[in-house]
Amino acid sequence: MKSSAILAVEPELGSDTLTYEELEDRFGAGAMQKVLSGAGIRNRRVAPPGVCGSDLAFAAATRLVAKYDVDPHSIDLLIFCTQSPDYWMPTTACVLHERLKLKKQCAAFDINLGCSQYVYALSVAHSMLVSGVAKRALVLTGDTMSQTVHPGDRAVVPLMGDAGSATLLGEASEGAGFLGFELGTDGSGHKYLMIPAGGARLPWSPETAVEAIDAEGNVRTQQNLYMNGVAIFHFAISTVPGTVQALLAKLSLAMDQIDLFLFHQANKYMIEYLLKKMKIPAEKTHLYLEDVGNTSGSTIPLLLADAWRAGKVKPGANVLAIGFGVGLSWAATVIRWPDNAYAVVP
Amino acid sequence: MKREEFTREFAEMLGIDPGELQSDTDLTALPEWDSVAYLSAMVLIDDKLAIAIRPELLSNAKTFGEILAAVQTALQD
Repeated sequence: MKSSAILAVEPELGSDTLTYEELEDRFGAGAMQKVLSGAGIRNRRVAPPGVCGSDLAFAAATRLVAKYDVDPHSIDLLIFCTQSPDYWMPTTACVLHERLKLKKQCAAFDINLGCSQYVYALSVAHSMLVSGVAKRALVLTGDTMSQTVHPGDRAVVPLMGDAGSATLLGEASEGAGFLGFELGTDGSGHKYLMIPAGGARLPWSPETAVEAIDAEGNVRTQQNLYMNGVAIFHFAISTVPGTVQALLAKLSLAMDQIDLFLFHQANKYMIEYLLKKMKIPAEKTHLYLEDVGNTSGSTIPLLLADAWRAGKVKPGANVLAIGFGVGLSWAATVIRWPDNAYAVVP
Repeated sequence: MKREEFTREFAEMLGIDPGELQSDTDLTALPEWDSVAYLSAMVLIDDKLAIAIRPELLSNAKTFGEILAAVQTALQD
């Protein structure tokens, strides 16, 4: 096929809500007011204990297949993006392959990235579709990062939510589809956002389970998610504008030829500054985090689904999506929206 | 942007009187100087001075003078 495109997107939020009021009781009214006015997050959708990222992805995929009457046997590529896999091995995509009852002639693998995972996976799926390796792809995301955060970490608990998504990719209508990608990495920042213990480098032990309190009063162990928010913020505001410029230059597109900018939903203050820095009018973007939280790699598919429902994604529109974060890793794409995508059913 | 203007905007960002902000002001003694303020300071420097400073410099700064020294080359005086 000449080009591939997104044909359908289905989101799935964690079923529970960690409310503003609950965290006011835990961290104080002043702290939560700062989170709301700065990060723009009021409530968080979280998965209850025992629910995995793959469960959220499975629910989204099952709904997508049913809603759009997709023949599961037409899927010959399954990519699951997660940093909270079911097991060390096998790769969770194989487990999902069985649960979704896909055919055996179907490639299946995980992509272990965080905030950049979705656009990264789109680039891999697109490449495999246009090269003829596969014809129809299901890109799933699913993470339960809230379960990795120490409940006493006031810097991170108020930010993180859990979600999954399913995206169907297939042949694009003439002139539409993915126009290009821009991917990047800065491994020197890998310690800024990580779960230090639990992998082969530092297995869980009684020592890694010891709680420590940092200078700002945040409690965590080495088994919990750690985020250096200042460093990540710095990375975002210094990397995103250049990545967008590089992608547009590669595609010979001007900023004003982009109809909709979809940014990873980490922090409203950050997104508003990026808009200002890149001189993007507010009506050319979309926000979806106030009552959801930062759902890691699922923010962009959730955002896309919500913007699509809101009528902001139309055939022929140029949509730029960019994910950035843990790694440090980033990925951006421009999609010319096809006219053969499924109509969105609210 | 001149040093005086930068100092005024920095003080406004913190919500304190510009007269209270001197080179030897101990930022760590100000309750307003927290992780949210680090982000606002980073945006102020990036937006108004168009320079990137190391993020650790903000979180490790003891005095306002250390921040002034880091942005000195971008100030007009």
